[in-house]
Amino acid sequence: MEKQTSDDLLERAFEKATELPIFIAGDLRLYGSLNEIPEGKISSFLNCTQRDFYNLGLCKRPDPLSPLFRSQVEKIASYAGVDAQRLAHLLRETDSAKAMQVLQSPPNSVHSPGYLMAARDKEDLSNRASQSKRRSKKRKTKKK
Amino acid sequence: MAAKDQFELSIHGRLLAGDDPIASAELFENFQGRLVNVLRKSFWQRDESLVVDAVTDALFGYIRNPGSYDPEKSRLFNYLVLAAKRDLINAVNSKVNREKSEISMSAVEDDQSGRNNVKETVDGNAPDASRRVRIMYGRELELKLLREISNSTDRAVLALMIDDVRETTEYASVLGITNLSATEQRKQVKMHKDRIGKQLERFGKRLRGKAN
Repeated sequence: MEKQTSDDLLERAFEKATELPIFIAGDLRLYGSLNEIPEGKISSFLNCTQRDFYNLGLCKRPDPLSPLFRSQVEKIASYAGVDAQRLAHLLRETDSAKAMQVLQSPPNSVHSPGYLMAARDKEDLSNRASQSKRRSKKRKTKKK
Repeated sequence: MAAKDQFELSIHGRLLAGDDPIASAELFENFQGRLVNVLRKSFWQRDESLVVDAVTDALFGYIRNPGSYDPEKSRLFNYLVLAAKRDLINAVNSKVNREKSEISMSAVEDDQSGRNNVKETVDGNAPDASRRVRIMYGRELELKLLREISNSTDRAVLALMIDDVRETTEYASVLGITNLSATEQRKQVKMHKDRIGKQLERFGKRLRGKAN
């Protein structure tokens, strides 16, 4: 099918995708900042055009721990016309950097997994409390 | 089956399966530009960034939750047009509310005695009053129209009519009658369009009645 989206529109979508962890765009930006490579130069590092770079950023991010990682990276590399080995290296590096960030964040930080888990637990407890209140109310009305 | 239909079904299946990392990028390459063009044509909205963001958000929403689309009910493209329009209306609403509060804030300034003083002039960058009125009337009219046309299929047909879509196949796809012969499809589509047209006429008469 004929491609109908201009580079400007893809660039805007890429920008927004950098904020969504399901896409590769965020990894491309993170890799650039970790290695002090300007964004325009990352496409040269991956041997692709700027349009291919945007398309690459809009691909779903494969999980480096998944057994499908290698085949998915090859598929993405072939679609976006980038070097598969470099892409795999890039994704592994950003994955490690993200893991380090989680480990290094202080325990009370809002970004730490512990904080989120505690928040979820609190939410669960309050949900359970309100559910049991509702149940006991129902029981009382039935008795009446 | 047309190539466009085949592509839509295939990409939807790949996104549903969830294991194809390039399906999302292909969706953007093939749909984003077409969706932006449709929204530009059918909305008075001239703020390009709002249109582009609404389309982008609609595509992200569908990628994250492809199960929200039912291929039995409409074509993927039409579904995405409706989703993007909804996002655009929300974005315009937020923008209007934000601008309204900015205008009211900039219209009040402290005088030398320390009391608030209402200024006669407003922020030069804010939209002019007539444009704000057009935005708000457009929003109200749309809400009234959506109450009038409550059936989701009828709304999808109406969206195609508003977009000046002429092809019977587009309407047949929305109505789920692609299995009928071309003649029968034309007949059914005409019947639906006439009925919606009559509803709109009655709606218009009621609006005029209220105005008088």
